[in-house]
Amino acid sequence: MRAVYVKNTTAGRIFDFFNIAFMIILAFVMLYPFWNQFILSLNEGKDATRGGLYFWPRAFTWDNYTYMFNKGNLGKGAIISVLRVVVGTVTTLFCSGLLAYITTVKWYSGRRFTRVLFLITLYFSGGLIPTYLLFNQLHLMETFTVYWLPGLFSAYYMLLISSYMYNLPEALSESARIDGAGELRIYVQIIAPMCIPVFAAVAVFSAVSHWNSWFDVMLYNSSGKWDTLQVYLRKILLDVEQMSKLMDEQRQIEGMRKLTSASIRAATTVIVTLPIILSYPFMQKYFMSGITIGAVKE
Amino acid sequence: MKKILMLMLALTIVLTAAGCSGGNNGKSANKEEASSSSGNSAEPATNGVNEYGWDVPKDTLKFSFYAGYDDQAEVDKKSPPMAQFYKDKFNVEIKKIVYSIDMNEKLNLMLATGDYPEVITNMDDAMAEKFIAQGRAVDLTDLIEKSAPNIKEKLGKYLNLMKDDEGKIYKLPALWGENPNVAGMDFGIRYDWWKELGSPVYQTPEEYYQALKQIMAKHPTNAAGQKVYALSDNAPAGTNTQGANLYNGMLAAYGFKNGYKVNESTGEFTHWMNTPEGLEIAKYINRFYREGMIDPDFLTNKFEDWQTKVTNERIIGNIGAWWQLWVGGQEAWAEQEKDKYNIEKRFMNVTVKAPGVEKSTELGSNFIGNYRVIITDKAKDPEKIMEWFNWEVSTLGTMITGFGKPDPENVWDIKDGKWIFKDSAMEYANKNTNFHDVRDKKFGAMSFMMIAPAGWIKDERLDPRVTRVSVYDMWPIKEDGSFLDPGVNLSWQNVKGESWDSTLYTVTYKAEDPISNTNATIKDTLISEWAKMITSKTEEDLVSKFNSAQEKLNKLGLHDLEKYNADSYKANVEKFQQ
Amino acid sequence: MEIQAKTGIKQSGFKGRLSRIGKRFYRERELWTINFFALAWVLIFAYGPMYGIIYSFYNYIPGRSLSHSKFVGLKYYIEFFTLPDVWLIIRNTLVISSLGLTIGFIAPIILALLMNEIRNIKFKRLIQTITYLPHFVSWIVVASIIFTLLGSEGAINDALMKMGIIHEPLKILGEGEYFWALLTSANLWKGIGWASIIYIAAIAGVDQELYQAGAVDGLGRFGMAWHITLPGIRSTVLLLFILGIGTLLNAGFEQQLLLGTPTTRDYHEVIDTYVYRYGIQQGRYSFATAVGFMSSVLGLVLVLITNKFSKKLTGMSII
Repeated sequence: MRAVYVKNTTAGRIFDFFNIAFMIILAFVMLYPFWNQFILSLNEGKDATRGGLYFWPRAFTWDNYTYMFNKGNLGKGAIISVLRVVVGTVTTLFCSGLLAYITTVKWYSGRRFTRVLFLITLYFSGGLIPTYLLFNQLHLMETFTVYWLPGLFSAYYMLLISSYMYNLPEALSESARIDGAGELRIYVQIIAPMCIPVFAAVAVFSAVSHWNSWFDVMLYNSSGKWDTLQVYLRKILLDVEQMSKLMDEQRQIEGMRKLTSASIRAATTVIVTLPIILSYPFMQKYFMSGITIGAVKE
Repeated sequence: MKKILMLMLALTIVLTAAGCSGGNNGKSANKEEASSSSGNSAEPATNGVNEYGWDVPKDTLKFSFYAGYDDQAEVDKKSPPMAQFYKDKFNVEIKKIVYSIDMNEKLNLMLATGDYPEVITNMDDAMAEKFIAQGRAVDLTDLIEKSAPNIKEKLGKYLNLMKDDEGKIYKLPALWGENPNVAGMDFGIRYDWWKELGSPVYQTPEEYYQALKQIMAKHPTNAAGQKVYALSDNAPAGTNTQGANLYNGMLAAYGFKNGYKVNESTGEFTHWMNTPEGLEIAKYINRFYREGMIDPDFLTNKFEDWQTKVTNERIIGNIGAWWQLWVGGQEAWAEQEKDKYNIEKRFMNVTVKAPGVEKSTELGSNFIGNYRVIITDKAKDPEKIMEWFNWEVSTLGTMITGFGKPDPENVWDIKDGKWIFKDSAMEYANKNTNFHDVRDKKFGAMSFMMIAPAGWIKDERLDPRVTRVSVYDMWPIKEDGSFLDPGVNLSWQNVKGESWDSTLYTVTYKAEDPISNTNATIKDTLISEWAKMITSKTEEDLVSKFNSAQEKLNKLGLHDLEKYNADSYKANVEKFQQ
Repeated sequence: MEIQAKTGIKQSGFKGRLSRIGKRFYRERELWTINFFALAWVLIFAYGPMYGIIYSFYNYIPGRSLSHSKFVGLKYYIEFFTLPDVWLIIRNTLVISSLGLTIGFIAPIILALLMNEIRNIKFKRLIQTITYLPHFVSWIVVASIIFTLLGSEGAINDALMKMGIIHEPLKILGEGEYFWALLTSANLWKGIGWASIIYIAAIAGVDQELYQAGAVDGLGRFGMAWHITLPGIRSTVLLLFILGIGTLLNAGFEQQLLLGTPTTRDYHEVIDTYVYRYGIQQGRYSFATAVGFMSSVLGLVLVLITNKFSKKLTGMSII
């Protein structure tokens, strides 16, 4: 790696020391909210209301997890979540990448027009009701398609990927073109492999946003047929919010009774978050280690 | 004629079987169960009235209703026993639809797509008005006249409030009735600590303050050495209304009606910020702050933070809704300490009245509630649905709706015409498992509640061993009328449980009326100004902050709001007395 | 950057132009075919629902067709500016989002650069994974942690008191003056690791040969970071900055509602929370749409202006 090229100096060593110390403190601060949820999830719910849980569970129990596993069909939710992440990410990545590619072909006359057209969609939207009506008309309600089709092309991902593609040497695609390669082939075989770091980063963005999204699930798949894992967490968190909207005292008490404990909420957070976090390191290696463009430059 | 005779016969049998023996209870029972059937058709449309007073139709009555925010999976898990019971004995198949998104949001989408079920319940008044304005709600006026004697009788004059300008009724109240609670907005105190002081009587805010002060001197810290405070406050996450409980409770002690001082003779409404009492209230709360008697985090606590403090014995008293102390205090301790729990470790709720005030308004009762039910234009047979509504509103119908099928296994059963609660359901220590869990989880109670009253159920046939029964709860009592649970007696011996009728004072703000914006702005401004006021360092500072807040609020249109409230009350009274 | 394609001999007249366009299309036929799908998609899914913006000029009630709604012109636009507190809200919005666009924008870049200097690759990956964890914890949970830590008896005050640095607990939460700092820190805590991902990827994309060349030129570590890494991620930084400018009037929503308290209202109320409270919660779609539309227009204008400047100053443009 890079370090190979540079000899470390004394200043460098001092810097390294402070840098690593800083990172350790940072890691502690960043790990904390998750750790807090983790220990809360391993603590007995009633006991947790006493507060004061900072670093270790006080009354250890697995009950919160068994409760969640007994409650809903978490397995099915997980499968649908994974399916959504895979289908959604692959399609978005391919399509937004392709879009990015054609808008970086410098002699393409539709380039600017397309970019502006997409850029506008970043800031303007029609709002909830018109979108809902559209999906209704397209018969996307209660389908799996509604998870990936409306996100097929993303202006944001397009811009990210194309800002990366701009840095690639033009000669590569031009020489392929002279050799008679089609645009799709140039994109798949030449450009895409050189964009692995940005594709990996966008894949993480897309995968996480697919994994985390819940509003569209509840809105467009309200029957629960295609419930994702995240929905289980959201339903529990939303109960808390809904409490504040109850105007009737009796219903408030009733809502209070039904409210799940903070420990169960924490357990759900852990269950819902862990799979996506654990899959992160696999993506990480693609965008954390550099590639050498020079090798293909000539 | 023959059919009507048959019907009458069937009805008599049912009523006799139901043990309508006392004679003096005949009035309510007779009137109630007789739901008219469509008697003019050639073919009899029904199989006669069943033992629960429902005229069982030959063709299955099928419809679905939307009931607001909930998890459909949970509903589907819970409701089958109830659905089965309705199908077997009533020939009725109802589907309950709920969504995990905000109800108003969903209702707007339903309006936009034109896709909604036959009945919508638990909607707020403004949303009901939207459906009505677009002609999507069925005119119920004649249907009520024809098939809903129970609704007419039980709602009585309150039904007038549902009428529009032309005297037509398109909506009905959901979750209505008289408030069955004993406690409301009260001045709670730790019972055991109060007893330690020799149970000083407190009836005015000043006496309450003194009692809290003495306890605080005796209990400066809890067992873990954390500081104990006389008062605190909280708000649900995301609402930012901390501190509001304090003035709401105080206003009740001063006899204000929904925050207004009402001059009955002139019909004038004065907002509390424009009254001298308002300043007094602010001074009162500010004293707690200046003397360090209020939890320093009282303006930031979310409900759960506050609950933790109560459970950890760090709070002596509370001005606000009774159930908060109940949940955070005795209920939590009983569960944590199990057998070791001493019932005197609890909070007591006390009605407090400012000197010179005739009647405090701590326990309000809004008869028509804040929620509405409509039958939409999708309904194939609105009349039949109205008949069902009528049945649900009958006392027996409400009992079944709220507590599930009468059954030896359930929390209640019908024995010799009496509605008897099971002994185990009355064990106060295990109320959650033996009462709430049995009826909810095993019998799917309340699954199909559309229009049954949420208020106090009163009927001669009801088990005399319980009182203040509502579809949500019931309180077992002893023969002398005191509560079976000695703890409840301790908590509530100093609240009288007499509610004042707030129905006509309730104002609904229509979305398109600019006053609704004024109302929202004033509400938000008031809460933040109030927070600044009561955290003043000196009393002079408080007075000047109060005055500037008053000026600010009046500039925002507080006087318009006063007038709007007064007018709306006047209109309600006129409607009511039609 | 534009390269004008040379499409043969210049011809004059309409016919010539037509044939030029035709030839150009022919040459670009593959690109246009690909683009056709993208354009169809964007017209249906993104522009299709945009007719909803018209609602802001009508007194729209869901379920009513436009022909049955009353045309009110700019009523809701004017209403926004005549609301009491509107300037306070605009101020809060601008302050909070400016803090986000400065501190909140630079911090992830610095973090990415610092992480890049870690030599142990395993440690580097671990740190990177950990810093992105808070992104997955919902605001409601983050807010409750912040309240327990920063409350007057929270761990922070406890520690400071024990160390004797302060004698009275700091009122970090209830004070309006601290709110902006609190919110910015919370946003940073939750988002810094997440936001740094893209810079890390961009750094990975910097041509490794440049570093070799840099070493030959005798550049040290800091020199390389300054002369090679930073310029290497310049286009990503600029792109994200320009895009970020467009959200100047969107200063967050959930976090304000959850971290705010009655005493901080003068500091936490922003356009989005206001629209939620006075528009959506009261079922006033037209008002909410009008305010949303204004923010969008201003956002896009700002993006285009920034883009122009960027083109002039750096030669880089996002469109």
